Amino acid sequence: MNLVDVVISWFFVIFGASFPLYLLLVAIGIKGFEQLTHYVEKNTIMHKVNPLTKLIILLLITIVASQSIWWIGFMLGLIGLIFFIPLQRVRLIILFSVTQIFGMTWGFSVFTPPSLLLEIFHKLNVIWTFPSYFQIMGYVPDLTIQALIYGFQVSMRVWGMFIFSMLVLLTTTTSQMINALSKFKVPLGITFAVTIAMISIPRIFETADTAYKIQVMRGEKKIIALFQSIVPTTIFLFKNAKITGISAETRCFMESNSRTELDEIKLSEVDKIIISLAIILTIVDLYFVAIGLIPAIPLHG
Amino acid sequence: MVGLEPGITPLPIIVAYFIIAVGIAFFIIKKSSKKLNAIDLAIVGVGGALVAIADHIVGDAIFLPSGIYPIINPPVWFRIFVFFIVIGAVRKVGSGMLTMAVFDIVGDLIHFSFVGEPLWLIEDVFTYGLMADIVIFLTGGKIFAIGEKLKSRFDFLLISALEGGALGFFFSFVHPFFTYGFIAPEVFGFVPDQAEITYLFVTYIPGDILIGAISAIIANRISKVIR
Repeated sequence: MNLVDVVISWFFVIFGASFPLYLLLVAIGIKGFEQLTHYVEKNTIMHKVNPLTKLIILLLITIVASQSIWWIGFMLGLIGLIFFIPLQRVRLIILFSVTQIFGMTWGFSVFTPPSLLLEIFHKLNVIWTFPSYFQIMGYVPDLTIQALIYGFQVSMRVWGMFIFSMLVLLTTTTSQMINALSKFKVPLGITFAVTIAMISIPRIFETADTAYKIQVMRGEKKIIALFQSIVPTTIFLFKNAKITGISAETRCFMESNSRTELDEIKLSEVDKIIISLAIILTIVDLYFVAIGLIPAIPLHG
Repeated sequence: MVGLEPGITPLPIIVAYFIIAVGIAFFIIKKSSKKLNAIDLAIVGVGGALVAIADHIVGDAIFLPSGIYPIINPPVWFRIFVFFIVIGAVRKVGSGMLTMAVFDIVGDLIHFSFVGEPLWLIEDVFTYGLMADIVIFLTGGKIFAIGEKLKSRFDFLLISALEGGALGFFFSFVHPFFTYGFIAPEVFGFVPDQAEITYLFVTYIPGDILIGAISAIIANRISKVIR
């Protein structure tokens, strides 16, 4: 193998690692993450649906996507994308999706044993051969078109679920989520901790952003500023958590094991129809998978 | 149909581990006198979210799919780092498992979606979380020498590093044998490679021990500022 081939091989490795990083840190950025994880105040159909309904749909989508061929997940993802239009987060969710899809595709394509690919595709078209010492790092000797297809298919199994998860995050308030978890009889302590966690997601980005900018303003180089902002961010967030805990305790939190509700959210007729429809579609999909009309990939030809 | 053998970790081993783990979890929670209060739960909540962001957003962004991984393993290192700070701040039996539960749920929401649940939740809680709780239980709530009355600063460093390193060593078993070796193949539908599992295990050990020791020392210092 000549020097040019070695350089190109390492370029693939570095590009595979740095391209998602570039998308994440530059194209999306901390502000973008904040927008992708923060509740969006709108009046869309997803806002009107009961959070319990959303969680059930999410569970059903997980079952369908993980059992069916890759294009089912792809179609679910495309359907999910439509709901991002009124939320004005289409660009961000596509960029975030690309990081996930690219990462998974590349990751699976360079680590999947050719013997497995042969069993699935029956032939392999080599497009690149890595230096032999790459095998020490777990790389397969040859990169094939089939490996890239396989990696993409695996990523598509996840994409639909990923899109709907983000949709739930953007259209459900914390209090709505608490209600949904309470309905599932999750213990109050766990519900409280999860709720605090969900509130904290955008706050973590805000705090990290502020701490980072303060370090930059002090004259630190960007990469050093990034590391130097970790400890202040952590301490600030934990101290705030302590105050939240004290506030909860002063209001006799957890004195009783159940919570009372002033305005109990019930399943509307629309919710019941959506849930019924989702269950029927799931059963139809699973039936088609079972009889072979929809193949389950990559393990079932 | 393509089988998952021979790479996959045998089912009886997985089942036996989790049955024993659940038994130990119940035992140490029952034997522990200190229960988690609202402040602990709030810290665990924020901590779990921080672990999720450190692992699934910051760490994964660096890790993706470089050949350097897993020798240098940012997602797992960041997870261990923040996780140790959280359990160091709370130091009560149950905090490890609950932090991992929160981490898993938040991680699902912001990154991987709910694919494969509740397998990931069970794995995180009864592997990483339980291991941390066992150390908290064995040290009587003085994990990483936090709250110990020791003579010298060197003793603090030594005990912190030893406990952190030991936890790091046990964490090294989880990803190769449970995550890559069993749950991921079941969920994503790929066939695990035996050589890859061995490679993962061998490369995880030094990194996890090192970062475990460093994280424990840092957790020792940060917990004093928080509580």
